[in-house]
Amino acid sequence: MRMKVISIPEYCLGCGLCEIYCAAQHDGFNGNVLKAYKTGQPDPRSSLIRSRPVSWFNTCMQCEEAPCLNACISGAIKRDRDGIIYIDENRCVQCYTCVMVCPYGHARPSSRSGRIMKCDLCRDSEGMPACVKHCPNGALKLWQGGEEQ
Amino acid sequence: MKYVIIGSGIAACGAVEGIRSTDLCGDITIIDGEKRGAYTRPLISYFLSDPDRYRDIDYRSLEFFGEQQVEIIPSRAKQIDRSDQIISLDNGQQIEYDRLLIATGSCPLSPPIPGAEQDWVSTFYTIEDAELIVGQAAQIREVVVIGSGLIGMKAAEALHKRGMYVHMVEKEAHILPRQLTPRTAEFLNEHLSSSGWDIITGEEVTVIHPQHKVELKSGRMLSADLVILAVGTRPAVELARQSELDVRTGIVVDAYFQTSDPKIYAAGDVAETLNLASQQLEVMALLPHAHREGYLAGCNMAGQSKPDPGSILMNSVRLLGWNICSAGAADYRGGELLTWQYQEQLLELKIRDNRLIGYIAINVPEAAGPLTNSVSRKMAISAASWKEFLADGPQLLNIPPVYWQELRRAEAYGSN
Amino acid sequence: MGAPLNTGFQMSTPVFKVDRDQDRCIQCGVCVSQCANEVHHMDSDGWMWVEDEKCVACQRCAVLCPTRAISITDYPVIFRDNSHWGSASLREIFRQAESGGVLLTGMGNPRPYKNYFDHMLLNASQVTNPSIDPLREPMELTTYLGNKGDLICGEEKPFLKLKVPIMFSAMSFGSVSLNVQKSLSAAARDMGTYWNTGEGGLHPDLKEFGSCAVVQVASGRFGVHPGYLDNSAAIEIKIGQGAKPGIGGHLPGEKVSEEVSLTRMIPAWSDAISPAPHHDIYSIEDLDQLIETLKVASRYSKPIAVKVAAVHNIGAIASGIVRAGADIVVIDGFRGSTGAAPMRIRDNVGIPIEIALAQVDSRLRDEGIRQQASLVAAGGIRSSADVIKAIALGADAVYIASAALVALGCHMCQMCFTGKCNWGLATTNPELSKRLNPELGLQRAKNLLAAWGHEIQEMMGGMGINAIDSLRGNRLMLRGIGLNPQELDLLGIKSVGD
Repeated sequence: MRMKVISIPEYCLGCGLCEIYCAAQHDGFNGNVLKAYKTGQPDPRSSLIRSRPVSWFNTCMQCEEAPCLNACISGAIKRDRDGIIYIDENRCVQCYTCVMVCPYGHARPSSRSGRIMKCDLCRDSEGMPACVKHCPNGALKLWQGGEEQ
Repeated sequence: MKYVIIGSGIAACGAVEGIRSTDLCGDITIIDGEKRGAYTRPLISYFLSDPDRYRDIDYRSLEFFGEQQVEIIPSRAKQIDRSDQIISLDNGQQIEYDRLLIATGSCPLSPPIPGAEQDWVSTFYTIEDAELIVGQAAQIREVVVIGSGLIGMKAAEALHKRGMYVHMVEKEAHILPRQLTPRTAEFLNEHLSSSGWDIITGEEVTVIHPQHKVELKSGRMLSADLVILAVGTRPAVELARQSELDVRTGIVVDAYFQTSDPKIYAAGDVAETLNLASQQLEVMALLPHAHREGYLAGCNMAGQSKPDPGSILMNSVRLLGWNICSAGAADYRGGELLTWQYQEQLLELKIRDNRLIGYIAINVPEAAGPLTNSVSRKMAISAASWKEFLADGPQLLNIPPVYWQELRRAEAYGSN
Repeated sequence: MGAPLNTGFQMSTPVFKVDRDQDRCIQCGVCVSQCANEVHHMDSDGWMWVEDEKCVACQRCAVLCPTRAISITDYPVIFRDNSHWGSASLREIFRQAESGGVLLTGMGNPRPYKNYFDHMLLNASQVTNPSIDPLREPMELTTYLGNKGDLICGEEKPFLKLKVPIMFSAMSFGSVSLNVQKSLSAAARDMGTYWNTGEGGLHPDLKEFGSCAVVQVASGRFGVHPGYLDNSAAIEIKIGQGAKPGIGGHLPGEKVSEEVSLTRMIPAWSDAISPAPHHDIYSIEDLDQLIETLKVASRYSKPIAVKVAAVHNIGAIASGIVRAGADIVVIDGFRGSTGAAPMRIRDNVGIPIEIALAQVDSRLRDEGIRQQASLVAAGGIRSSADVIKAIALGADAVYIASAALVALGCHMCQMCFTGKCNWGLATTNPELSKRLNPELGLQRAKNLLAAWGHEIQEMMGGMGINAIDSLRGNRLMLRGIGLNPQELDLLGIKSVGD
């Protein structure tokens, strides 16, 4: 079943808490914001786009015919058992072809590490994706295939 | 249903996924002529630069083929009997097919340079080519790479990383002639030269002498322990021609990847597909296209009806830490050229009739995705909007808002 | 003449201190983007700093900070102890000396006047009259508001039917955002009660909620047109409100956006000040005529309410209003909130709703006209216990506004009049209004009503009552604690132990 996080620009305040909790949920920080930002290199997997007067969290649209998956030269971009598209960092050679073909500008290199950042719906943790859980204004929702958008 | 795929590259893997998306029962057989499994050619230069780190260059693993229930036969296809629907292999086997996909890819061009047949002169196309160089690396100090296309560039980069002194000889006036414009090429050339490459443009190699000397038209002599021939590729159409399928430069296919024989399909480097920019059928030998084409061909072979939406020329490559993305045509006849530069970043946008028709981005990856999509979909975004985009700084947040609206509208037509 | 000073010099230290724990701060900048008062700043090199004097203690930054690095405390008071000249008095004079203007404020009277709700206790059944278990027995909370007197068999009189004796009180569009009204109107509809449009008219987006709306006709007559009166459940003539008895509504120019201007039918960006009296109501006879006119215009299909502030002689005033034909009398006590009012009027004018309610209920009963109009109490109702006590004192139902705003996120910083509400409530600035997601607001408001409804049922059950009607005006259920004999007498209740 297809799943993705969708952003509702009407309710988005552009506060950036989504990016913060996203970064804290990955790379072994386990949701600990302080630890991620004080001791580590927090890398949010999606970016908040502030394009005044609107803003939105530019998450992965988990496309059915994913250009990024097609384009990856090393086969690092795969679909897991739940249908979630993710990047196997061991195989990524940072050629940026996926960045070039993503129509949403979602896949992009981290300004900190140069690794390719791509939303993986927090597949390594339990429960709702961190961004959806922590948005203070209900502007992010987990859309599951078949529901109205 | 017996599916047979000649080739084990990107298009072949895409085809397996396409077929299995609807048909879980049919037999799939892959004829692997190179006998090296489904590896991805772009990674051979990475392997060359660091064989230990890049030992595994498989595009799809053996597990993948096991899971998808695909049989792999390590042999070359010799002949196709279209009336009986049988393929004869080098190893003597005869393989029947109900649906056949020809995904034989490209092969490197061998320029008719005297001395090119010597054993220290080779093309750089297969993993074997890379392995041979790795084996002799200790004896190689100086290299001449003929051709400054993508393959030549990546080979040169790998050799440079190994500590060898690289000369690059390019016939055209600037490097990466099919991707870059003079200004962007000059910008990149600066970076590569200052890292220690000897880049010679507007020159041709006339003779490769047995004394490990490479002679140029001007008379200049270069020393070389190794010469890489990287002057281009052509589609591997021999088998198709032999079978009397419709072939021009590449195999001619319709929108559903069917050849002139309805039981035979073709996809990937070997096929001619729709270039949205020129609205012509052309060979566009690019990896992202190969997977998609293979996938769609596979779906169609299994009974679906998925036409090819077509695509554009595009490339993304990393060279000595610099990322170069380009899409659309580097041939910028007509229209307006907008340029933005800041330190190591350079962006050129080509606008014609108030549409973006091409771009070259050096170290400006963030906005590359929307730029590529604007070109592919021929989005009506005015020159004025693009000027504003550059003036505000070419970041994602400054992409003209009309782009996002167009994207949402296109979504409504179910492309995602 | 008063003329504002233009110096950057401030006579005293800030009111609040914004503390940032640097060990916890991750320089994420959320506090910077979320403070409309521009307290927090982040320099291009990542250095975070604050301007304490701009802080209003709305707590937005502290609540949103992902590492809880921010705390707001009182700035340590530096004035010498003085029980007559408190720090607030001194600061207020400093401000007036600088601005030469009337001090404005928002929300309700915060001064430590005696709170009568907190001096009344409820009864509970023990042996002789068993309590009722609300989980097992039906508890009737349904309330009808309207004229219940002189009912002739077969005659149809208009009533409001409430499933729970709590309605959302008047908050005009302009003083609050559209999202607040969307949340409350939808909650009212879903919970079977009503909301009040306030004096700002009915925004076109809320047309579908007219059928559960009490539309207000205030002295400025903002947004009043025939369609407005038709699309309503009841019409309320606002004579006054508890926060500022004797003067009219005040919407500062900063809050009169284009949308507000259209809905109210007034020019944008200039102060919208309602006149103190209705200029067509100068006597009780005039009120009688207006009520009758509205009844005729609405074809006798809707109850007509009259809202007054609780002031001296409220008993006589209420009696006059009932005799003038009002179907519902709304009394707003001095703790009532406002979007903007002069501080001195808000803090010094009016009387407590508890006393006013008791007085009005007793007076109307004495005169034999209690049935002719329902009584609705308003003015700082804080909990379901306040609701029960108000009903026991004589109210048919209560209006809540402050409590509803708190449910939506209000932190009572009292700066509503600036239009910079950081919670997106008391503002029409679209950037700030976004902060209240009406879907979430709706759920919160519904939850509030549901929670209070359950608590009311629990307390009623404890008293051995299973229908709200049995509690109405039932002073015997109340006992005063810490009240003097006169107060007990005014409230009409006995003392504890009595």
